[in-house]
Order: sequence, then structure tokens, then C-alpha cells
Amino acid sequence: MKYGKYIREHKVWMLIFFCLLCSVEIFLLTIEGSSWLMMYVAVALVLGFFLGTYVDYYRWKGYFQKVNGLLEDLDKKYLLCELLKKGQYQEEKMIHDILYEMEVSMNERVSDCMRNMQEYKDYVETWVHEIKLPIASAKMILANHMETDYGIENEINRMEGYVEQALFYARSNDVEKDYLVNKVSLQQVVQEVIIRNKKILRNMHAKIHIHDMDVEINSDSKWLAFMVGQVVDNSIKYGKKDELILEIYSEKKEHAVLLHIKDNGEGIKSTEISKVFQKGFTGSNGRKTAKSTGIGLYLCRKLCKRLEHNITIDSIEGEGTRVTFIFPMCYMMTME
Amino acid sequence: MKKIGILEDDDTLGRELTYYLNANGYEARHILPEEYADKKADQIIEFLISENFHLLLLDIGLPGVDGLHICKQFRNNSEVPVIMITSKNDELTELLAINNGADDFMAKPFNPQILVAHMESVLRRVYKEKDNIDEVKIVQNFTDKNGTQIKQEFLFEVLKGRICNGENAVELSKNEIQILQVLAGCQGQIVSRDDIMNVLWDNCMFVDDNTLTVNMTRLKGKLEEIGIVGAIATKRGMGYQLL
Repeated sequence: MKYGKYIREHKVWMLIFFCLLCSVEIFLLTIEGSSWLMMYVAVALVLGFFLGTYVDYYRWKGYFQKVNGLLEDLDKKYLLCELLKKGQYQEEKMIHDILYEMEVSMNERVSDCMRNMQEYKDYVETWVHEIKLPIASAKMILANHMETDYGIENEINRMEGYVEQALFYARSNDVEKDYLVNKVSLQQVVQEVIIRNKKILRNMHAKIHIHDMDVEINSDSKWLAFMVGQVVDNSIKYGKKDELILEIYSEKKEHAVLLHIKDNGEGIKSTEISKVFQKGFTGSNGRKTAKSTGIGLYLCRKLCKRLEHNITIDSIEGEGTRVTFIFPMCYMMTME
Repeated sequence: MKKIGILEDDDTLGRELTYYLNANGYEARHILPEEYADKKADQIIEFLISENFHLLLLDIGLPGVDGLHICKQFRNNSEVPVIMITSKNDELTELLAINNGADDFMAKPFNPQILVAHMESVLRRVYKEKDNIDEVKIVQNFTDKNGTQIKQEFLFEVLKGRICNGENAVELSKNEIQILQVLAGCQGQIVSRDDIMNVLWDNCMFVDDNTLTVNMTRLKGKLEEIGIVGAIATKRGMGYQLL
């Protein structure tokens, strides 16, 4: 807030003051006052005017500085009114009242959205659990009639994969804590994922190389299995039949445990690698095969964040991709 | 034959599961919702106990009653193992199931083979049956390529992971043990490479075609080391056969 600008914005006051000054001077002329008196009155009035406006300007400046300071400290800016004192001047009171009204309506809206989100999430969860029943039945029926497979099992497994993805998508939003951190054996999680993808990996004649896996970390095993599953799924999608080599191994660092999942697929262009964790990003590989939804890695990163893990990716185009999950140790220590 | 009770409200799933388990050497009984819908929890428990199951497959979401509650009550009155099956696949549900006395937890949709594997391990643990596959004596009686009648036998010690023929013994690797186990399980029949690989994969040995060939050659070599020649026949394009 600048005083010059303040004065210019209050032209009306200036005008009124100028008229007043003129009329006083004319009055003094008519009663034939001395020029001394006229000078004195003019200077006194002008000084008085500027002093008066400056005091007002100063008050407002202080007020807005205070408001701005509060605003900067606030995380949720729409809650400003809670911290702002009501003030003694009516303008301040009015501003306070307006802000209060805004806050109330904003809060209503926010809680409305939260409730809607929670409801939707609950619905998706229920839906996923319901849809799993017919999938389970279909799988059982197939198991009882092995002779009529025609690749249906593969398709059902794909369906199951997408359903699982929907569930974790709903869970990835930070509405409530719905994971449980426990000691998890990396070996077990990885084996579970490979066995789940047994059929398709066997069909591709993939070479699986799992080593250095004797390590326990703190995580939610179901969430971790889902994330590892997404990465393995990508390796399957972008790997060549009969040539896929999947290497999964862990590495102990001073402050973290790393889990590497490395394939020899087509890799990712260096120009695209920074974008693979973005939602909906499919890249040139994804568009080529048209199987990509751009959700898998995005979800992985989001879920990792919630579990306080990290995920990184490096790749050489044409040679392969390596995805690394990072489980920080300090986090592990605080859990004990 | 082990009696398995299935408490599952979904008709199709229950029926197919019963069918599958019956085909896999169990005596499964699907308890239909009509049988317990109008009963109170204590009556259901009584009914379940009176059926004398060896193992109970219990769904969490049942009409009218809570599976977890049933599980807890049942556990208070019986030592019969319970496997919870539910479509809610998260750590908390699993923890609740185990805390309420379940012996194991399977998420729907499950792979039927894996379910059976879990059932086997629970049954073995609870009924402490002596694993009759600790040691297998393999007796062979066949005519070889030259038309000579061959009679030979060797001992396959599964748990120790070795094969011996009188004085001579040789250690087997994890993969070789598994392969020999599969072949010994259906001695005389041809087992396809695909079937062997399947079993290996289910036991977390993710081998490829070449590795299997190498393992087979090594296994034959080790058999020859202890003086057992020609025990495993390779049937081109079909698989292997323990004669």
C-alpha cells in the first residue's frame, strides 16, 4: 500500500478539501484579513488534511499487513477468518463478517466434496468386493472345466487386474488411512506376484531371475504386492515374447533397502522418462501397443508416497527398464 | 477322506468349489444359506460341530451373521481348523480373521490350486499326520532298449534331499527334489514338461525350459552316480517317465 496511490484514489476528498480551502480564502478576502492570516490558514489546513489522511492510511496499512501476515502462515487460506480479530472499527468488523460468511460457505462446500469423495470411495470398494465374487465363481467354473479354456482364464485374470487397479485408485486418495504397516518379506511378496502371473509369464517363456531377497521391510504387504504387480505387468506388456528376462533383486544401502525390478523390454525414451509417473501418460510405447492406460505407475507413486516409500525408474531405450522401490530405514526404525 | 465344510453364501461359488474339492480327493459339503438363515449364532456353531468336519472354509460376509463372529465362537468350542475366504483383501481383514482364530486367510478370487495347497498345509499341521512322503522307496522293473529285464530299486529321502542305493548316496538340489517328487508321485506315467514346470513355479522355482533340461540331465546323472541307470525315460515331445 502506497500513500501516493492512496491519495490519488481519494480524489473526492481532495476536491472537497480544495473547495473548502478556496471558500475559506475567499471568505478571508471579503473580510479583508491580512495576507499573513490567509497564508497561515492555508498552510494549517493543507497540513491538517495530509496529516488526517495519513493517519487513516497508516491504520489501513497496518491492518492489511496483519491480514497478509496471517494469510502467509495459513495452510488452508480459506480459514483466515478464524485467526482474524474482529477489530474495533466498523470497516474491520464488516470485513470480518464478510470473510466469516465466505468461510462458512467454503467449509460447507469442502465438507460436501469430502463426503462425496468418501461415499464414492466406499461405493468403489463395495463394488470391487462384489465384482470379485462372480470373478471367483468364473475361475472356479473354469477350474472344473479345464478342457474348455480357450484363453478365458487369461481374460479373467486381466479383468481381475483392472478391478484391483480400481480399488487401489480409490484408496490412493488421502481420505483415510486404510493400510497396515507390518514386517513384510520381500521374497514372499515377489514370489506371490510371479505366481499370480504364472500363466502369462510361462506362455511368454520368460526367464525369471530372483536373487538377494532375504530381507524384511516395513510395509503393507497387499499394497506392496499390488505395486510390484503393476511394474511386472508393465514388463510383460512391453516385453517381447520368448525373450523376456525379468530380474528382481534387493540391495541394502546404509539408509534404505532397495528393490529393483529390471527387464529387457523396449525401454523408455529419455525424453519421456520424466513423465511416466504422470497420470494418463502413455508415451510412444503405450500408443504403439494400445494396452496402456497410464494409470499403473501413477498409482504406484501415489501409493508409495502414502506408505512413505519411494519409487524411481531408469531406462535405456531398446535395452530395458529398471524400476526401483526405496524403503527408507529411518522410517523402519521409528516403527520399532 | 477329509470332510470339508463350506460356509459360503454365493451359490455358484459354493457349488463349484464343492465340485472342485470333490474332484480333488476331499469330501466337501456346501452348507446352503437355507440351512442356517433362521438360526442364531450358537445354533449354527452347534450345527457346525455336529457335522464333524476336518476343516471349515468360512466366508466373512454371510447373510444374517458375521463370519468373524462365527469363527471366534467356533474356535472357542472346537479345534477344527478354519480358513477364512473373503473378497476383502486387505491387511486389516486378514489380521481380524487370524485374531478371531482362523488358521489361514484366502482372498477371493483365489486360484483353486493355491487354495488346495493352503488347505493341505493347514490339515497337515493340525492333524500332525506323518508325512508319508518323507522317504519313498522306488522299485523299478522294466526292459531296456537292448531287451534285458532290469530290476532295481533306490530310496528317495525327500526331507533330507537325497537319493541312496545301499551305501551310495547323493544330494539333490531343490529343483531336482521337486522334479523327482512329481515323477515319483505318478510312477509309470508320462509327465509332460509343462506339468513339471507348473509344479516348480507353484513352489517358487521359476525355471525356464533350458533350466529344466539341465536339471533333468543332472538328475539322471546323479541317479547314474549311485548305479541307477535308465530310471527316467525321455519321451520325445511328451515328457518324462519314471519307469
